[in-house]
Amino acid sequence: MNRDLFLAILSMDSYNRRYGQGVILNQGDSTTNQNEAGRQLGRATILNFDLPQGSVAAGFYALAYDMTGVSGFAAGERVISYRGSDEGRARDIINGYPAALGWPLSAQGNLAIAFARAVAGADVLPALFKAWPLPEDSNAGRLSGRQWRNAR
Amino acid sequence: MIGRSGFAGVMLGASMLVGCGQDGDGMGSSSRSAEARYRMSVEVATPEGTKSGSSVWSRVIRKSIGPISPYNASFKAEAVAIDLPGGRTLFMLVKDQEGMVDAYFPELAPEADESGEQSRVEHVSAIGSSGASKVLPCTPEAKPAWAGILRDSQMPNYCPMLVTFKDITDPTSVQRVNPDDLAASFGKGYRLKAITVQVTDAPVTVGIQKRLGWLSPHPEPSLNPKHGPMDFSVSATFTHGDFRRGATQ
Repeated sequence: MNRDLFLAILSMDSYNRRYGQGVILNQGDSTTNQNEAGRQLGRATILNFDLPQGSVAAGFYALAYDMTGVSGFAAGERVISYRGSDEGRARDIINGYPAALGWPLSAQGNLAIAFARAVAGADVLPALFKAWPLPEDSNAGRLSGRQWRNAR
Repeated sequence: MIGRSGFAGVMLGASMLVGCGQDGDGMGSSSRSAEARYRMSVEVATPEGTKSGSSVWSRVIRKSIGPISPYNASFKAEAVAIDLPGGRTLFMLVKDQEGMVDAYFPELAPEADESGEQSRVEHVSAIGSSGASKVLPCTPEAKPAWAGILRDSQMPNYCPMLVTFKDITDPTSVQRVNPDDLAASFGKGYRLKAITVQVTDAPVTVGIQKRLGWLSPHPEPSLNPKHGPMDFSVSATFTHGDFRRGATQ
């Protein structure tokens, strides 16, 4: 499958996982009565990373995939898919919409960086994200949380 | 980040702002919000008779103001605890249950409008005022007769998950419980009798913190936060939020 098409699919896949999911899929496909981590989308495997503390309160969600064995991706390459949540819409509007619209001051921005650091390791992130000081509890945010993927 | 409906709302916002003259989602509901409170009950057959536990959960849904998103929803719930002989406790989790009350009562859904949409507010409102009760098809006895001819993946599957702990003071000792085979977890004579949902006006149940002293106010951490990315065990993949959702504490 084309790499960009697969990335597009993964960018939407997070909407159907875990809390605030948009679609309830049946057993064997997705979350209901199932764990997310370890499930596969094609050969992409959902990795097990905890969301940063404050994610649910801020309407933030993210998934990380291991792309080993997927055509167009290197072995060990990881992709992150971010989304907001329709659960508690006001929280998502306050904490995420500014980032989606390009405004850098958002709680979800900090959460996205914290998640990326956990998945990729701070050393491979762009310098700004690598050095960015995150609050211990990432409820308050200051930096952009626009969707992006990180490969290692 | 942006939610699915929010993304659609941003894309459609301009056209809606110039005035289609409809209310929020255009479904014509007279009420902007609705709550359904419902008691989730579990009955377990044991060698010492039937044991049960219950917890009242709440689902609130509101129409949003403006074109960005049609709905704003919240869910408050705590896991149901069932005390079993020998000091063991069975828990029915809130994991993935936030929108399930709609699925419990599909027969109470309103008629679709001209665009084929059904108002979620009207649906939750109808459930909340119905006083309805239902045994969920989560036990062999309660499953529909046609279930046996379908593959598992084709069965509607909204049954809550069950877990127990070897040591209730140690969250990493969590174990999945097969609802079709409680004997495998607790021994001979144990069987899941029924999971029932009953619409109620009772307040949302609180207090699970007293049983699970290690429960975090944050829902995100897994029960074993030291796990690796390829650790897909129960303690690594289940989170504190699977036992409590919303501000019930």
